[in-house]
Amino acid sequence: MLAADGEAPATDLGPEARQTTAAVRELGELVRGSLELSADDAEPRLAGLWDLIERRLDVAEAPAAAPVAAPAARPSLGARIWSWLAGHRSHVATGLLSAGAVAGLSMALGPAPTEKVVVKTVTVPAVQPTVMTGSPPEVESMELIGGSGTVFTIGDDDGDGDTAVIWVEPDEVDPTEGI
Amino acid sequence: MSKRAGLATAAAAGAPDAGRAPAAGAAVPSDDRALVALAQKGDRAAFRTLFERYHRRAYALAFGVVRNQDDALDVVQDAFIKAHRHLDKFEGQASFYTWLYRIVMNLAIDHLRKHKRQQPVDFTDQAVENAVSEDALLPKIIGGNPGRALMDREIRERISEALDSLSENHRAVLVMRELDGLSYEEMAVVMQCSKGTIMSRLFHARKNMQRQLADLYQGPPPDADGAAPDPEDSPAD
Repeated sequence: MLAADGEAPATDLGPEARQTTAAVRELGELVRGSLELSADDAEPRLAGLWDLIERRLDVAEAPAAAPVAAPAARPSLGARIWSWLAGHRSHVATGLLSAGAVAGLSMALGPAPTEKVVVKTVTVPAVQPTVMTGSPPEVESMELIGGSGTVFTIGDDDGDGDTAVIWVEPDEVDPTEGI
Repeated sequence: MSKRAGLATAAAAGAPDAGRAPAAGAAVPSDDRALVALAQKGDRAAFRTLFERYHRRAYALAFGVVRNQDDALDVVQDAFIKAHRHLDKFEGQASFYTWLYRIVMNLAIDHLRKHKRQQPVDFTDQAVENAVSEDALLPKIIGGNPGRALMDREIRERISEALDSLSENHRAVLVMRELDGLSYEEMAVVMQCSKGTIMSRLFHARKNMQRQLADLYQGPPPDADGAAPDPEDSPAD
């Protein structure tokens, strides 16, 4: 075996040793040939292997070529709102103008402002209705100079006397000159 | 078949797949050292030339160990990525292929261990070493024309099955020896074991292969020097 592998000089070999050497060499050829044919079988896939390798090399080299920048701080809420407004400037302006127009029309065409009304709740004490128990009043008319009068005579409930009320109405004066 | 000579020629030519060579017109050095020097400076085309030069050999090596096309392609891909990543540490004391070879072999063995596909070693290395001197390889050949034998699909499948049946360590040593002709010393370095262990593993790998292929063997060749007999006598025909 040493001789077949080149690890010892192939001299002075007996017939059987030479045959063994030949068998070893043949086996080696078979193994080598078998592996070469396996490589032939894989040739279509071997042909695309460089592309895969190059892709991986690109990925591996990418961080070194372009160091990754530190991630930007997250903007505040106000900044994000301002950013949103800036991005929708035309929409916001249209909305504000529309709202202003509606408010102006409402003020111009709407009802005038009313007076201020104060509502007060007043408590009125209850009044007992008067019941006439005596004789009914007497009403008399009388003629006076420049007018007329009415006399009401009402008798007291306790019978002590009568109460007279005289109502005088002056005659109407004609404003016409000479009448 | 003289695939080794074919491989050497292809490696010397620098582009086994001429159609996939890097940019036409680009002056690409043929020397590995010059290519490595350029690749170390970031020349992607130079590294691609090295890939084109050795990827097929790397695949055959990986496939010989892992015995699966997908896994072997993964190993080759990872090996070239790793080689590119550590190219600046390559000082050129060994050839680029020897350096790549170790990367491929280590990745292939790691792959086997991770996926637990290796078969148990048949016997301890010490027992194997003892057996080397007690037993002998069969002095028989299939027909003296391996190239013709491999044209027979059945024989090729039998050889593949025989390789599959070997333990991880035996197969790795056999592949290293037969595919790239590594010396015992070089294999010992790659496998991180003694030279005697390499010898015993190689012996029993061959012995097991012969046992698996026993029914294909015929008697000793008519020419004791191993000259090819009449092809008509080959069982492949």
